[in-house]
Amino acid sequence: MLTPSSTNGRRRARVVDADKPRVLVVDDASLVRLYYRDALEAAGFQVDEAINGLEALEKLLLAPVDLLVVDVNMPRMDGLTFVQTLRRQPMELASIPVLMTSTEAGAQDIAAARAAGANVYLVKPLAQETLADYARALSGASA
Amino acid sequence: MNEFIEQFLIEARELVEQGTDDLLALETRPDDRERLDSAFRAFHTLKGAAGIIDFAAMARALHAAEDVLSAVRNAAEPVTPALIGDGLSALDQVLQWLDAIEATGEPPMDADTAADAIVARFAGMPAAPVEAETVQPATQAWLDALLTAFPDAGDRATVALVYRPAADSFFRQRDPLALVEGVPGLLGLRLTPSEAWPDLDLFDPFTCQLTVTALSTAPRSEVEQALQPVLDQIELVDLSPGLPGGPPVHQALLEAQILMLGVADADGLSGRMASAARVCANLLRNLDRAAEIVPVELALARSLDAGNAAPLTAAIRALIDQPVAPSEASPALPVPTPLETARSLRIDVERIDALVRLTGELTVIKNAIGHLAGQTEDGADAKVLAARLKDQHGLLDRLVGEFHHAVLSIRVLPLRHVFQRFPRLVRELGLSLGKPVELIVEGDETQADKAIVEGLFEPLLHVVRNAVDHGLEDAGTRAASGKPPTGQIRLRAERRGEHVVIEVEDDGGGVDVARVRQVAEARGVATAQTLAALSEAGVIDLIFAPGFSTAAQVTDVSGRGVGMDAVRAAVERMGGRATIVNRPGLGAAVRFTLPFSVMMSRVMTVEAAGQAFGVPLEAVIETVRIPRDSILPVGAAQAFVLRGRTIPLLDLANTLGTRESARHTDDAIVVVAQVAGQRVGLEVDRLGGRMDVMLKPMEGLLAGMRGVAGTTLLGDGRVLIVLDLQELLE
Repeated sequence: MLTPSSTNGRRRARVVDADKPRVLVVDDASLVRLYYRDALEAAGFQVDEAINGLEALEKLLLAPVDLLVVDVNMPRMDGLTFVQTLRRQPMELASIPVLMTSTEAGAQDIAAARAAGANVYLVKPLAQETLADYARALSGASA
Repeated sequence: MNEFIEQFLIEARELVEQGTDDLLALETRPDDRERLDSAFRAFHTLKGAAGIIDFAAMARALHAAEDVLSAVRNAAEPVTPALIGDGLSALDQVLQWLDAIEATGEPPMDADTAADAIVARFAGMPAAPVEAETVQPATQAWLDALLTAFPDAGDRATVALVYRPAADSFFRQRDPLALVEGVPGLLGLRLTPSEAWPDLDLFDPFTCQLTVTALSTAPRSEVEQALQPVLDQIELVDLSPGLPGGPPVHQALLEAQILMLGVADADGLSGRMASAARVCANLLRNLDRAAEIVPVELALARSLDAGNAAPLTAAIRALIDQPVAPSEASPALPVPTPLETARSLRIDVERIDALVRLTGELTVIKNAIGHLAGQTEDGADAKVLAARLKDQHGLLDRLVGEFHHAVLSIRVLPLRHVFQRFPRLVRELGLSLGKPVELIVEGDETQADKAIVEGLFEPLLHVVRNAVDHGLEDAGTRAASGKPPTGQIRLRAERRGEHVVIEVEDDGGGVDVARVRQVAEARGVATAQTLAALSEAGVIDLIFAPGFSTAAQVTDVSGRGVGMDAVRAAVERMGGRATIVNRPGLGAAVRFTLPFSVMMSRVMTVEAAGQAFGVPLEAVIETVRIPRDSILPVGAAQAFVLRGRTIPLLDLANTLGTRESARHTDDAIVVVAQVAGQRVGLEVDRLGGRMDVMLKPMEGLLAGMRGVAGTTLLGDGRVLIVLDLQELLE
């Protein structure tokens, strides 16, 4: 079985998926998740979603990913608390690169994201190409 | 020594090498733009590095050199031999400083005088107009915020500006906002209050309390033009083109990691450091600079150890500051990228990956053996278990072999590390001896064990000196024999099987055999009788004898006859041989034949007095049991007859001084070995198997023990002492 996007008929879907870098998008807004998923899948990522920090932690404990794209304001567990918690986990989880996004562009917002342990903080709205560029760079995926 | 200094020393040495290389290339090809740029960058980056460790004198000296190179780059100045010479001596001085720092851990106190001299020397040459210092962009809060706010614009912007209008701007000048809007190529604009807004009743609407920051794609000059009326209130920052070879997003991301690590009192420090390092590794992978990941990971390990982000931060900073490696090498003379220095080992990431893969495979076998152990307890059939264990052993054997190979290959370096020092040296030798010399280096990509690469410099230096000093004839003699006036020295390396062959060849007159005979006799190196019996090759070989020197006049270059015997000793210490190939009238070559790796040894294990010993397998001929009553006393010693040949017998434990007592076994177990052409029998208590071992040189108390080549650990945790039979039996 081939993945829809794969044009290489010799490779099987499972192999392709295993080769792809995995990214978990953590955002409570479904439209944002869809927007990000679209951009990231086009850039060759395998995308999973979580609607808040708590769900994200649960998913990570089952299967670590190569990159996290995390919103700040979310119910139940916000992005800052989530990243803080993440950085205290065993190294395999703690070292996952975090791209944090939010609509806030104030110096204190950036500082808060850094203090939590986000590797980069980008202000929404984010062009899809920009997100893809950063995601590739942060995850080490070939451009 | 603190990590900054360590990192500084590593980088600075590389930069000095790079700079030296570039300057020498410029001397032959003054128009080589890429070499010029590369030299400039080397000086520039060195200066920056000196600044980081607060070594002001070095920064000052390099700044002077950089200014002059900058003038050359702007085509204001030609490349002259004087400039090359001054540049080289500045780098020499830097090397001396580096050695001093390495010895004491601190910049030398008396560097100012030397720095003054360098500055004075360069002052004779017109300097370029002062260049705008490149600012580390995102370290400034406003710029950081601006680039974060416009993540899409950061890639294209060439200039960032901050405009802090005077409080009375609304009255004196044009509207600050209107001014900024007039900036060409505006990509993004941010308005922030200069200070926290005051209470509303204190607020003065006629005072300008705004700070304007903006990004533009226009050239700096155009931006300046547009803001001419308020230029004194404006700060402009040139946005650097980003990480070499990469889009600006990488530069911003590296900066962001430093900023994240800089957050004080943040918890989860280990996690943040690990993620910062992972991001850096990913960025490097993305940029095809995977080879630079290792230093970052080493820095991470140090940071995790110390619970302090400083080493990691320094390593990331180093990535940002690294000179731009030219993406396309010059067609005529490729610029070598600085590689590993022998002091610290930079390892190709593929080699690390191989180790990681092997570790994984070893784990699989470990698990399988664990499983078998479980089955043993459950009472499984012994024959089945034995067969499976044998299978696993076979796998393990193969893996250990691969592992061994992988580990050894980590220690392998290209000979370039030592060869690259010679162009400079030969140039100076030629100048000081008044002989025009050309050095031709061949095969410097040939690899050899790190220990050999490191140990080669001294012996090669002697040989190269000799070649220039004694090998090459003076200009008159050369002309008479129809040779071109410029002498040639070839420095050549080649891999031949398990050996690396290195040759220093000159196109001089060759070895004067008659004169060697004369000198050898005069200096008492050999008697006339011996000399008469020696073949020509044998006579030439006397050059390596202690006390021999053919220099008719003692020059300050080649010294006083301490040369070639020291050379041979050094080469033999590395397990190699030194020989001379003579072509009378056409020149001579000194050849070193060295083992590719100095670490490997195949041994046969034996036991004597409860201690395990390894006997080098290449020396072992056979093992025999000799009935005690067939052992013959020969004076105070013993011997036995094997197939009609009398062989002296030594008790290994006795020889090593570890046992006195006599034995009571019926038969003596004897290892027959060949040492320096002689057969000898070594009596041992028990014979073991054959194994490949990696030798560790003896340390501490054992270092002085005669007859021991080194030690290695056995599987059961015992130490195996590997014997040097020749030394043992001398």
